[in-house]
Amino acid sequence: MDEFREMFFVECDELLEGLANGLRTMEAPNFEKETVHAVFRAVHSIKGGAAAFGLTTLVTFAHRFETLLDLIRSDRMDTPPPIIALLHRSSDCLSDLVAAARLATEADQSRVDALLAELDALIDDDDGPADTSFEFTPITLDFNAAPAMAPAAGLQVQMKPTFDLYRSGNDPLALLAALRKLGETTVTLRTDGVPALADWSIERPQLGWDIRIAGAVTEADIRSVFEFVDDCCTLSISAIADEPATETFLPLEVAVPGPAAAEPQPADVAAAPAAAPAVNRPAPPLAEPAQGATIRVGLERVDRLMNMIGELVIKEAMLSQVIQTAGLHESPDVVAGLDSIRQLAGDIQESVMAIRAQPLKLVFQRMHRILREAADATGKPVRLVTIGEQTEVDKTMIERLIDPLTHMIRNSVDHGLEDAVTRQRRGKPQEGTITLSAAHRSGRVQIEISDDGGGINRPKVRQIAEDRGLIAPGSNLSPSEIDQLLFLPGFSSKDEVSALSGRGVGLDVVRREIMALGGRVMIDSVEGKGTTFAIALPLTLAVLEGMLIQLGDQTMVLPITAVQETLQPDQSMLHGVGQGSQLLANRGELIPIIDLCQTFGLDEPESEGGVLIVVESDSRKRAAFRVDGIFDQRQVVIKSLEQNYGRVPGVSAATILGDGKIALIIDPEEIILSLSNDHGRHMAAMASNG
Amino acid sequence: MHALPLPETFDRKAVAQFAQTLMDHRGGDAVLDASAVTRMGVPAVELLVAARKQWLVDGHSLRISDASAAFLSTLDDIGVSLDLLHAEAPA
Repeated sequence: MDEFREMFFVECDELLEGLANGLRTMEAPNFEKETVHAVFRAVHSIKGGAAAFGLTTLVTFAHRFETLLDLIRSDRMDTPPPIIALLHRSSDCLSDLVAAARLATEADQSRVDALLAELDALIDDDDGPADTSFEFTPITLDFNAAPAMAPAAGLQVQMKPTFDLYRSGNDPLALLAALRKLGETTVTLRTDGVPALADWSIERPQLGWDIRIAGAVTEADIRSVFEFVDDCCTLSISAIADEPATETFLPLEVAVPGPAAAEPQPADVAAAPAAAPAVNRPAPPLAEPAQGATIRVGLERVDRLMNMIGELVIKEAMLSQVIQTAGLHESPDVVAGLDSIRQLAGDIQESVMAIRAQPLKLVFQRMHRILREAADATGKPVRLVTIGEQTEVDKTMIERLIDPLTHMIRNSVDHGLEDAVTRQRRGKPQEGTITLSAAHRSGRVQIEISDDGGGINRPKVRQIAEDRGLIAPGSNLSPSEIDQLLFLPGFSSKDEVSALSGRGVGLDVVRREIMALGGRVMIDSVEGKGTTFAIALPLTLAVLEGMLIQLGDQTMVLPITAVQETLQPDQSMLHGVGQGSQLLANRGELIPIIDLCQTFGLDEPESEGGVLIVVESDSRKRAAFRVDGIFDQRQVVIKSLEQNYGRVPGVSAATILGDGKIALIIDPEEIILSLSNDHGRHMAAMASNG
Repeated sequence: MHALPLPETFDRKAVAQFAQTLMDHRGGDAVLDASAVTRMGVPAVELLVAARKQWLVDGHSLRISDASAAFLSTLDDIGVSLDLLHAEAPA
């Protein structure tokens, strides 16, 4: 029973996500009716499951919630902003009730009662949900159960490709062309499942077709067209008399008004589908996409697998070392065998990473609620725009990103955005916008939190830093260095900041949390335009592609993502500046040279030789690291140094090499940041050290 | 308004890249210039459908201009008319 109960809560998570998404879609003026149906179904499903487990509080609330939704879906209630706001709050409350039921804790009953009173005020008590059986009974298509088709008026084919069809180099166009050869066809595209672009992914194709083929065509004829791709698409064949009831097709034959005269159309019901059959016809087997067989696996099992792969990578490196030592490294068979193992290990690692990967949508979705609460607390009208929600990161990171992002969103609302009056005075819309975006960039995940507020008030930031003794009065700081002061421990304090974002947690803690994930936080602020906090994260916390470098008698690892190029410069490319500092003239740019032996206090080589590695930090700063040599590039398993030893400046973690020795993994960002001796920058670097 | 040119070969690879281009142009009215398209696959059409929905949600207009014969022919084969890839901003 516990297993079923847990399964119910896992399903609740998905339903709540769909609910929150649907409500956000309903904020738009032209949302589709289907969205309300989907939202209703989500609440109704939660209610049904909750009833099965005797969760009466949850059932009671869900019932009132769905009653209101029923009024909306039956056009008996409009959805002005106050109603949408109430729906959002009800969704949040439902989410809290689910969480309370899951943990067997008490929900905030006074809040539940207050919301129920609001819902009741809008609902006629005599009006229950009109039809709770509604249309959501899932119908599974069973090809074997398809009746023998009489070719009388022809056949109707419903076809929906999966990504496998495209990946295998096929295109539905070829299938459509083949079907056309069987008889007179009417092709209708189904777009109902296609989400808006922000949520769309090429890997989850949603287009489907309804194809009517007139004449003496047989089911066997049609199946022969799909003979080689029948496992790459969902297919349903029925007699035309059994055509499906559907409201969401885009029929080719429909005459639509010219765009200039057209009303704004809901996305899927773009035109009254003259060719679409009446809604009350008996529903045929629906060609719902087979979503692919899935199983739920405990995270600890995946983690164990990931750890074992980490060990495999180390063993592979060790084996490689042994082969080298034994002088077998030039034997073609050995090299080929080792390459195969390396390739296989990489493939397995990627596969496991894909299992652990989750879309950032799971985090972004929570931020809508955080934003609503922050907007309520500050009285500032704000909207949240999310971009790139489908960007995937490691599941561990998903969970650990919630707190920093929560704080940064609150911070942006509280400190970033001006109040409505000020915004109006500055010629901005009264409603502020916070944009939360994510994208994969150069082997990392970049998350940005941007506001369109007034930008960082640098004189004020500077003054606070001076007042608190964080920098010397009159320090010569650039704008970006002043921005970095925000990350200094002790910059914010409880007596200064508001009750919203200033809960004793400053941006220094945010930065520390991001750094603990192997990430960086950067700021870009333009006065009057707004501020962007950018977080760059590694794709995984388990392994990285590294360049093995020699520093004195030490081997260290430089993350390959930071490396731009390596070179052995002519003397003409080197220019001395100041005391012992050098610049590299490269491609018309002067880049400071940092001697890593010096940085880590190692014995410097007697000669001036060595190799320069041009690196670029996440904050787009460049430097050339001087090292004694480069001798390999390989994947290394990341082992936390802080947990096992302690924090080492300029080092992010450690790894175990093939010979069993430990190598430190260099943190290029931190080294570049600490380049200057300037006090303010040094302080900022210290802030980044946590 | 500057028209965004659709890729000449609007295949799966180009779709992935153009999706990002479209995302970068969210927040305003947009015109997609389809004059150069010589080859287009179904994923490209799905991208345009998703873009239309996004523009509708965002309250901006999205139009396709100067559609090439290849572009229109593909739409015809797929079963969708050009007009239904347009989004009109609310008045």
